[in-house]
Formats: sequence, structure tokens, C-alpha cells
Amino acid sequence: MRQVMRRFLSLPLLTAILLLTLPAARAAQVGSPAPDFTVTDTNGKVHHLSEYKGKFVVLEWHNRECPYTRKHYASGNMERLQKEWTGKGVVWFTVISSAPGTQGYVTADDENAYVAKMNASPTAVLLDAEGSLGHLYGAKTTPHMFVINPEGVLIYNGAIDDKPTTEIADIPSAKNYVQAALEEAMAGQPVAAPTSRPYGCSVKYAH
Amino acid sequence: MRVSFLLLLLLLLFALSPGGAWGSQAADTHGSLQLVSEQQSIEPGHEFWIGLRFNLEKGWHIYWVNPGDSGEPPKVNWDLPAGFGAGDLQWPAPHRLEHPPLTDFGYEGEVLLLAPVHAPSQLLGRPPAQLAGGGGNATFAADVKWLVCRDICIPAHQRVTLSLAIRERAPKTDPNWRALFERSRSRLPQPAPVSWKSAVLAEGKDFVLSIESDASQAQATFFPLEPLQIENGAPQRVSAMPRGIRLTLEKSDQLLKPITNLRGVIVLGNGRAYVIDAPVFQNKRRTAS
Repeated sequence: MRQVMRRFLSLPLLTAILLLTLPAARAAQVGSPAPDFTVTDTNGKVHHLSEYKGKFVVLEWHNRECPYTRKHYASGNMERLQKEWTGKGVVWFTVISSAPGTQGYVTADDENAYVAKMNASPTAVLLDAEGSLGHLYGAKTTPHMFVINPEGVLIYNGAIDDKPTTEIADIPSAKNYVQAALEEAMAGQPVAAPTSRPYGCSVKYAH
Repeated sequence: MRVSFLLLLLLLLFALSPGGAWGSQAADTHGSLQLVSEQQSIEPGHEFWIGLRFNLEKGWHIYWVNPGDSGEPPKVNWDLPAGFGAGDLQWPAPHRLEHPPLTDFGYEGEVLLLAPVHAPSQLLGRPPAQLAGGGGNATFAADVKWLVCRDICIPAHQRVTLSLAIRERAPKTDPNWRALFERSRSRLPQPAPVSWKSAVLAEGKDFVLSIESDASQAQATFFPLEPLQIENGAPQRVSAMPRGIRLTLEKSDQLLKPITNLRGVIVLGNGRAYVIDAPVFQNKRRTAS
């Protein structure tokens, strides 16, 4: 055990470099290219991630009946973020991965009515009832947030903020990680908190 | 006219009654919550144990201090009489709650989250007004917020209270809760014995946790105390060592930097749970397995 743990300083540098540059075995790793996808939105339009090179892209996993999602919609927090950042040229995709018959599953018309009612302004709502986009990114909770930079690299994977509760009263004092990641990246700075534990309800995948 | 007046009256009564629309008990929490004490009375100057007893409907669960991939642990705000102090909530070792692709850590059925309470030595001499509940009693309250989930999740909030007599003599154990306290305490993670040596080797996408103990162990489950260190749902490969056990744990795909310590609770085959805080060594050898 100890022997194995001893540092092998004589190891050729090349091997170390090789190890560091091995391709990530798993998808949606911060610092790596975000996996491309093809998904249809609630208006029947097909989106490929690769079309949005040159723009920041936000993915927001959504289930309107989940109390954690409700916290950020009933308070207007999510709608405010969508409005602010789409106004600055960010592509914002709300993603619904609830399987048919599970909580949060919606039809396209129903979702369009909801977006209008909430005065929400995502670029589009992607319907992912079979869960393939969710599995591709490893989306765990609603909400679960991802930010992709204009080069197509994933720069944030985690929670919306640092207060993992269902209470609206916690929003004003919370640090919003998505806001911070977009501000930092747009200012040409590295993202200070590139990952966090996403919090919320489980994504209601098909079983 | 008369009927509608009666209805209005009934509605008002319902709204104003405890447990009604404005009461502190949530509509349906899919189980019950009680504040219980191991002892039937309080002896001044002594420590005793109280606990939040959840009794959940079949299929519903609550969460451990690290809930895993989703969910949220219960939170408590104690409201204790002057002079009393409650220690940190103690969490029995959890179970893996698997609903692929997610894995949470929590509890089903009956669970007791324990807290030690210290009673001040000057109690009986005080005027009764200083003891909430008056007379020879002390009343404890807890404001509890928790999340109860099955396939869906419901946030719950309840204030629970407990009143105990103050007696200047050794208290009796409450027979109703003796077994529950004993069983729950036996599942509380203990500090790892000082003779144990634990260390982690970071190898590619895995952490290999080795625990040298006094005997070979064939079965164990590791529950991380820190989020984003290991992949909660990944299978844990376990191999017995002549003295101890080795577990291969997949790194979290959200882990971006090397960590110095892996922290968690290990539950052995016999049900005993220990807190592990193991230093992490980076293995730079490619051939190591």
C-alpha cells in the first residue's frame, strides 16, 4: 500500500502528460466540450447544440410541479435570470425530461401556455420525454443548471444557487452560481465555482 | 341561509383550530413526526437523549445529512427552556435509495434522529415561571422542516413539543422508546478505532479506499459526507483484505480538482458504522490497477 503511494518522481514526464490528456470517459465534464444534441422544442423546431457556437448556452432542467422549481418560478427568480441573460445574447434552453405519466410531463401546447402565463423567456423549451438529453448531461435534479461557453466548452454544472431549500425567503441572500458563471465568463475570467451539488427533486426519468 | 351561515361558522372553526388550514401541521406529510425522550423525567445536571421520530408511510423516504443526488435533509430549530442546551443532531447510518440513474441516501419506515440535551444543575430551586410549562415540568419544542419523497417530493413543516417532569432522582427509561433509542444509537457512526489506518489512492476515475483494521472484512458500504467527491450511484467494488477491506469508489464527474481527504461513513457487514476521514494520495503510475 505504502509503496504504491510513494511518489514516482522518476516516471517519464510523457506518461504524466498522457494521463492528463486522456479523453474524459464521461459526458458533460466541466472543462471539456459539451456533448452535442439534437432536440425538438415546444414549437416543433429542432435544435442542435452545434448551431450555437459563438454564443453562451444555458441548460435549465425543469419540472414545474417540483417544489424546488416552484421556488424559483413563483418568486420570479428564474424568469428574471432568463430575461436578463437572453437580453444579453445568451441562448437559454429550459429542458423537460419528465417521462410520460410522471410529475412534470407536459405537452408542447400546455408548456407554451405555461411559459406565457409565467412571463418566462427561455429561448426555447426542449421536450426530452425519453430522457436522452438528461442522460447525456447527467442531469439529476430540477433545477439542475449547465452553462456552455461560445467555444462549446462546459463551464458550469450544478445548482442554481447555494441555498438548497424550497423557501422563497432564501433567494435574496443566496449566491446565484449561474449568474456568477455568466458574469465571470463574459468578463473573460475563469468561473470561480464551476461545479456545485445540484439540489432539488430527482429528474423523473422513465424506468 | 341558515345552512350557509353554519357552513361559514364551520369553516372559521376549521381555519382557527390547530391542525386546520392555519395550523402548523402540513396537509399530508405521508407519515408522522413526534418529539420523544428516552427518559421519563429530567434529573438536573445530567445529560439525556431526545429524538425526532419519523414514522413514514410505505414507499416514502426522508434524507440523511448528505442526501445524495437529490433531496434535502431535515432541519431542526430547537426551542428549549432557559439553561438547557441541545447538541448536534445525530444521524443513524442511512440506506442507499436507488432510483436509477439517481441514488439518494436516507431512511424509510421508522427513523429516529437523536440529540443529546444537557439539563442545567439548578432547576428545582428556580421559580416555576422560568421553566417553560410551569410547575415541575420542562417543555421542549422543535421546529422541524423536512422533505418527504416517493416519486414526488413534499416539503413539510411541523412544530413538535414534549413535556417532561423534573425529578431529583435517577430517571427511568421510557419503555415505549427504549428499543427505538437502542436500535438507532447502534446505527450511529462511531469514530474509527485509533488502531485503524485508512488511506485513499486516487487512480484515474476511481478512489481506492483501503482500511486496515484488526480483522478481515468482506462487506461494506461507503456513504460520502461531502458532496461531489464520489459518484453516489456507482457500484462500489469491495474486496476483503487479510486485515481490513478495500473499496473502489468512482470519482464524481463534477470533481475537478484533487482532494486531500475523502470523508464519509462506512457501514460494515455487521451493521456497525464508522466515520472515515482518509488522506488521498495521487497515483501517477499508469499501470497500477
